[in-house]
Amino acid sequence: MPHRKIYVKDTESCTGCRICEIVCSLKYAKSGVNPRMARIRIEYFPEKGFITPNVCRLCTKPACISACPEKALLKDSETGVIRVNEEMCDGCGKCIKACKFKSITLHPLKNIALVCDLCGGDPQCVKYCMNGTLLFLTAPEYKREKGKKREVSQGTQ
Amino acid sequence: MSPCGWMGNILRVNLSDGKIEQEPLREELRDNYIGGRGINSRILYSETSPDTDPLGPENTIIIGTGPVNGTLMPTSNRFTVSAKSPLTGILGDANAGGFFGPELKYAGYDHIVIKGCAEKPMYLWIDDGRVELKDARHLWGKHTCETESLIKREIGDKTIHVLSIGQAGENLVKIAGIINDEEHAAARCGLGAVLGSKRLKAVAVRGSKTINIAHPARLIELVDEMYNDYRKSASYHWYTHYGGTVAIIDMCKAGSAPVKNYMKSGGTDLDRRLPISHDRIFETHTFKDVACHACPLACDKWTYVEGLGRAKHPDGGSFHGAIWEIYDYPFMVEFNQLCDLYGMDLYSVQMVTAAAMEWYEKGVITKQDTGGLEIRFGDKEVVKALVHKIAKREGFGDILSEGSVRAGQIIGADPDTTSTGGYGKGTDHGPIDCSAMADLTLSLSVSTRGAGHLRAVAPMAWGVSDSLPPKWQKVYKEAGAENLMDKPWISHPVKAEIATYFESICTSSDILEMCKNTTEFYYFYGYEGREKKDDLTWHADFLRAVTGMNIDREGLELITRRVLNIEKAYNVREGKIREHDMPTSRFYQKRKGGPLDGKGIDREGLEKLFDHYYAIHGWDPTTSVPKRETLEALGLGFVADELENKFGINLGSRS
Repeated sequence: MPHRKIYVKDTESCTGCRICEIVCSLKYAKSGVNPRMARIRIEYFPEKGFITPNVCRLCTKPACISACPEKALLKDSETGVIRVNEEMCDGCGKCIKACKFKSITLHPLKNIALVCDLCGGDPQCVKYCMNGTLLFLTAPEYKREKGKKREVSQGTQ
Repeated sequence: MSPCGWMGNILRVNLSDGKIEQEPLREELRDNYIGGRGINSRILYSETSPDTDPLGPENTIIIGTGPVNGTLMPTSNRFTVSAKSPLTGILGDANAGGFFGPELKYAGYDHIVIKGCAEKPMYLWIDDGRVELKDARHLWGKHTCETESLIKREIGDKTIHVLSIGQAGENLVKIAGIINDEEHAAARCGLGAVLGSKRLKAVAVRGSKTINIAHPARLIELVDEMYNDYRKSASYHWYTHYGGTVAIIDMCKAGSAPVKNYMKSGGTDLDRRLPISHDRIFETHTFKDVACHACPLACDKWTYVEGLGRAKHPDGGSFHGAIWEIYDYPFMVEFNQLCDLYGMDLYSVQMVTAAAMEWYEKGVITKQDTGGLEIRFGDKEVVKALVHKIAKREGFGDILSEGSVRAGQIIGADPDTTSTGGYGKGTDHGPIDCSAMADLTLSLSVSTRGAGHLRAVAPMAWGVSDSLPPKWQKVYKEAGAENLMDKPWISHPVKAEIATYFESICTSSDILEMCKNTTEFYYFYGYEGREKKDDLTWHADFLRAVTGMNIDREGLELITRRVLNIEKAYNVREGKIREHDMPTSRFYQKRKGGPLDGKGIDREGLEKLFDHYYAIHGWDPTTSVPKRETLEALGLGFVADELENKFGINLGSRS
């Protein structure tokens, strides 16, 4: 059974409203919000004309894990999620540099790495994305979804 | 722990001596004025006076956020800037969306109160509790976008949020605005010039604190409910797609879209507008929906225009090139961009340049006055040249930079040529043709910040809806005015009541610092789901969920009244009374052509409508001054005492 993970459908549909960041921070901070504490981050490229969310891709060979000198990061074999051992993480930031998808950030107050854990299987960011940019699918499902999109666009041409 | 919703702190900055202090947000302010425009107006009332020079160091400029700002509440992203306006000399405020407001709260502050005047250009850098004034000499003379990116580079973080002024603010142009996050503008009332006079180029902010939420589960529940309503609503789908631009053709068909500085009747140019209507433009130019913080509507669009590249799509108002008789989309995009870069209120720039065209056409001004420029209607290059001249206060632009009302007075033009509701207060009202529209005229004219279309205007007054929503049909029926539903030119007391209702909604949105686009005020009225809850009810619901305060619809309405009354008292203290609320005589002219052909407002009827409006508010109909009993009932006895004892204004009998 392949893992389900968060896919970014395209860079056109994301409006940069940051609702994903806000629900994420509310989920983890419990009683408060600040998008800087979110495990998903919106990145703006106004000069290039697009906006995109960055979130953990559950890599099969995660560069972040090999980069961590403290061995604080561990891949959960069951869900594919990368877990951060908060006690072992010293906030050195090597995983952040290693992740080419810019999906890891540092908690501004606790100084530990923040990695998406898929909210235990029900990612809130996907639930609240009004633009349909974020998808929570397995790889074959995502492939099918993309195929559908191609069919539609070919149909209109 | 700070209270829920609010961060609990006011930041006070004195630029004259560089002193930066933090003071607690008093409970009295929180409970009685909530936040945003409410607390701003309260602070402004006590910290400025009729002696305050708007461009002097004693003027106070306040940047305020609301308790629900920065949370998950849909469209909770705005902030209000208030100061005594250099354009009008009365209460001035302007608000903007984007991300600056929420970020200010994450940094731990609800309001920033700025006084004094720096010796050399400075910018304020707020990094959580660390606040410092930094040298901005290298930024002086730069436009807003460049200022923003230079500050981001200097701080080394592109995720910070910046508000700044451009050259217009630096040059004390009275129609200068404040721009944040590149494309959002708190533009009205010339507040950019206040920052310019204080030599404060920008405010940059980064915050890592959390906004505490009293009942997170309830907040999520309310958000779920709203998102479900959105998904069901047809208007949500077309509004997210087209944004404010969708209203232009409707406004034109209803006759509220102006043509040629109001010299021609609104709606007479439908055939020229259709080729640049929203559906055409959205096929050829815009390519992306862009949202402010926590906004599922995303009414902002990015557009592509040859020669300019990616640019912001001009929203509804700026789309009105018809005011100069120019029907050209790429030009409107460029004009919009120029105003943003210079940091100017594009409504005011439109109004003053269109008025100049009328003056030129009528021979009030000649080539000698304009420095050789032939200011003719329909000339794009002239408009662009004037924008540059206004921002730099060059030549004839120096006069125009005073705003249309004062520029008209300097030149000696007929007040009618600067067609504006609430003329005596000195703000132009933006491109909306109110003649033959009694309710629109009333609600634009009575605005406490001069003339404003975002203060009390009912959506049906614009003519944007094809038919009146059932809720309002009922109101008309109950008032026995059923036959007036499609007759905007007739004054009837029910119109004052509807204006008052929408005034509460607009004020409540400004106090909570959320966007009016998601309220009944714009397009989301009368659709399934939202009918059961009026705007003040759900505003109060969110307030309770976020702050835990005990407030209901009635409580919130009372607070909006209190805020309106203190603002009105501010203007009364400046000597602005009923006569200054009244519109110029061009509003009474009969329409020639267009959808309201031959119709006009009857002056006597309109006077009665104003009487009724003031009576609803408990203000003296002859002067519009709030009565003592009205002020006392709102806990504003100290305002009544000050107006009577210090300023000798008669408020009627003592209770």
